[in-house]
Amino acid sequence: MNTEQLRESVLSVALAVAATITGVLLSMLLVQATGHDAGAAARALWDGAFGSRRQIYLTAARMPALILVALGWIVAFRSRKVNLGLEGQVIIGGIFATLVAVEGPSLPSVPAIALSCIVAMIAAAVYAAIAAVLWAKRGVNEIVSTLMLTFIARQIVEWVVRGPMKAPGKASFQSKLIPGAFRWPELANGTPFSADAILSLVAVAAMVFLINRTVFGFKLRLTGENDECSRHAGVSTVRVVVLGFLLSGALAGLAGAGLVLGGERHMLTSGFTGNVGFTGIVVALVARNSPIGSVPAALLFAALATGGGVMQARADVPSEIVFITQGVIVVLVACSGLLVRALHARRVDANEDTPPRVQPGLASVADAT
Amino acid sequence: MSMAQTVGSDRSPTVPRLRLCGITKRFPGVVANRDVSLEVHGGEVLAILGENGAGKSTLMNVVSGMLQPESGSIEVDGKPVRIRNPADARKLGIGMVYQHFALVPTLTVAENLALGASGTRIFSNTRRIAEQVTGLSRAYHLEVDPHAVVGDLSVGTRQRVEIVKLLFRGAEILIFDEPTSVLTPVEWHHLVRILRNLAAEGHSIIFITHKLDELMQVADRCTVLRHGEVAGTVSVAATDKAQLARMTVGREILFQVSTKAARPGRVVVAAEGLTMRSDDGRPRLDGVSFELREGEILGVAGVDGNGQRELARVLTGLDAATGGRFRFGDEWRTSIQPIDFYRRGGAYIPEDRHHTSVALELSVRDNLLMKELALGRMQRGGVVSERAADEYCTTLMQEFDVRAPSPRVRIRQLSGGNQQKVVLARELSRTPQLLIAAQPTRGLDVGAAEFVMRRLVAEKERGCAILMISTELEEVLQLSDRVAVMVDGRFLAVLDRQDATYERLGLLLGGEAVDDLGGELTEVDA
Repeated sequence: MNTEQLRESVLSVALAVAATITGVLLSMLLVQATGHDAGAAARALWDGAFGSRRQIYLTAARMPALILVALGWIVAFRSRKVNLGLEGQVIIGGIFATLVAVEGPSLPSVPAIALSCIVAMIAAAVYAAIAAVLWAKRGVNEIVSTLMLTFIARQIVEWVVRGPMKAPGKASFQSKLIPGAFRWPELANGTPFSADAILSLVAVAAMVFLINRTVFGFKLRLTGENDECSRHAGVSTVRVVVLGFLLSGALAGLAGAGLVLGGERHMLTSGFTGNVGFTGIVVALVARNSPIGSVPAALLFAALATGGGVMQARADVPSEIVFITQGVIVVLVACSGLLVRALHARRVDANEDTPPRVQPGLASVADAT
Repeated sequence: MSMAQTVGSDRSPTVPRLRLCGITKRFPGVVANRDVSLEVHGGEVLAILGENGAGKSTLMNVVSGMLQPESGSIEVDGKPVRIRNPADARKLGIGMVYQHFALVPTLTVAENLALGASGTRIFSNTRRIAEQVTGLSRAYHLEVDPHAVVGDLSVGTRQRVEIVKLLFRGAEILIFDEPTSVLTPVEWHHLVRILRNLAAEGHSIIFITHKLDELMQVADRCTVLRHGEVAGTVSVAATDKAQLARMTVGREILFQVSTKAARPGRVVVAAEGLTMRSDDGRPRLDGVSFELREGEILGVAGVDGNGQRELARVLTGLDAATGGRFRFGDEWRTSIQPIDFYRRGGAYIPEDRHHTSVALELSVRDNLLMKELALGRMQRGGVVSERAADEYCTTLMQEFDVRAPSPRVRIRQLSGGNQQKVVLARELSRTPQLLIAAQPTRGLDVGAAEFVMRRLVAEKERGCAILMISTELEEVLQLSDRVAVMVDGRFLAVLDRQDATYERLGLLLGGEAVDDLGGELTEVDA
């Protein structure tokens, strides 16, 4: 990393922090304006997220799924593919992880969890492959197809918890409980904070390595930056993009597996994802597609989620305020991204050899001697 | 009709309608126009002739307000004016027909005109506009139906719609930027009639071209641009194609690269009737055949857009031929995968550096490595071998004198010359058997260009077969052992070096058929 890139990273972090503070301040202003005590609300939000050991564990327990989904977004986006269907792939992953756990062989803990996760990843990757293959063979826009596949996945989970996978004798729509061997070991007793947190950090490290040090990561970056150049260099760009997309789906599937094998409830319900497949995308956006950045960004959104619940209970402020906070942060981060690019572009233009693009076509005229 | 009345009849005929004095326009690293002066009178067709990059389009963009010159002045009807933007130009009665038309295909002709009409109200009166279009169309034999949907019209008709648009807006100085590149011969003859008509009615026409034949048919006078400077202005009646060709290409040689005569070995690449049609059915490559041997440079001379790009893309695997076949290595084929092209010892310097040959946002190192990694080198178990890669990059950057603060900076931050050295280093590092170099010195300053040319010659002397595509005749003539002249997707002629003269190439590029050559050449030699 050279000084220029370092400066850019520092700037990005500073802007993300500023956006977060502004987002919280603005939403507190809104709280005050609607006749609540903003100070009490802010305190409740903080206490809810970090106020006690238990709350800290609750916040931390939300992070792994967000991180994994964010990584899924990032790996697809490196080749400029938009996987908007991570939520659907999370759902498919959750269903198959549950299926293996409740119907599969009884195994000791480690192979049990491994088997369940691997099956979930494969299933979610296959689900993502539908969109990837439609794009590769027919040019179907992956944004639309993945989003539609998410709606289908939602109906599938509604159906399985009411029908084939419904726990017998239970009034509510839920699957059987996950057997003990398949549950992620708890890292703190009596809390949902479990060992998948470690797995998600390993995944972050693996993603950094994959993107920066492997040949596949190189091809992914090259194709994302300039696919014509990538093709000219002899890369099978379609293959690279499709593989990146499958990996994206697999990571979402792993997140889905974590939600049922870890967590508090240890079962599949129709709303088991808590929209993590979309929030994780927002995490990636705030992290500006940096795998490492997705860890603090996931912490922020996890804290807002746990804190929001406590804020509602204690200060009687609707927890929807938290969505406004999230929205403001995302908008501000998106704007600051433009700011970074504008600053960068100005610096570059100053020493660029080719003329600024006044008008399409003019540059090529000037390019010729 | 009132519109057809002689325009500008109240003005003095001795004062030029438009006059440019000492126009200079620089782009970073390039002087596009240096001290250019010219004038055009009412009722006259002035042709501006020059090679690609001679500065024709830049000059016209200055006149139409798209670019601001660094120095020089512009006079309209003897009065000095400043043209800060296209709206200023329009007010002064200057209009331009571009190569790419600015029409909305889903609207009718009249609606298109209503879009840009001055003093537009919310509901413009398309019916009144339609009447005016009919009037103009009749007066100048433009044959434009105001109610036709633009998308349904042929290219030639669309061009006439653009002319109507300019006349409708009151333009009296009409500039045509290479108007014939998109026309069929019949449409061209129609355009000649229209231009002569417009001139007869007192309009001033500026006609930008690189085709000698056309300007001889339509122009009264011709100003020749060469390397951004005026090489001369001549009356068309008092000149001939040979003289114009000489003026266009010039005689001075910027620098000399010494090259030994070729000792060609076995055939490395061969093509037979290679054809490629684009999606709209127009042939981009139209039956190209050649053989290229070891230790030989075959130069492909031609004006941009005559199929050179397609030829390179077919041979390197970026596009597939629709007809004919080629051979690189053992078997005949119609297409090849890029990676197979490189595996067989191919190397490729694409013409558009910023879109194809480099990824601007990636580092110098990544750009040097891309083909090595694609070929499965510099890696172990799918992981990049960092040390081998670093060594490779450092060595190449030294050998090719790439000036960059570090291999890790974005290649965007390098000058064009250094970017091209990165590309050259990447391609030559594989000691290729075949090099396809398209516009290898485009956009480079003299020093960098010379460096590139010397390396190409060195490769040839090593035994590499080189297909060098260039729009710069000087470059082609200096380096090539044989010269192919490419016009309209075809090799019009393949000449040995001793037979390829500026005049001959200039005539061929001007669109002269091969049969005419004999006569023309005797004239030149005499």
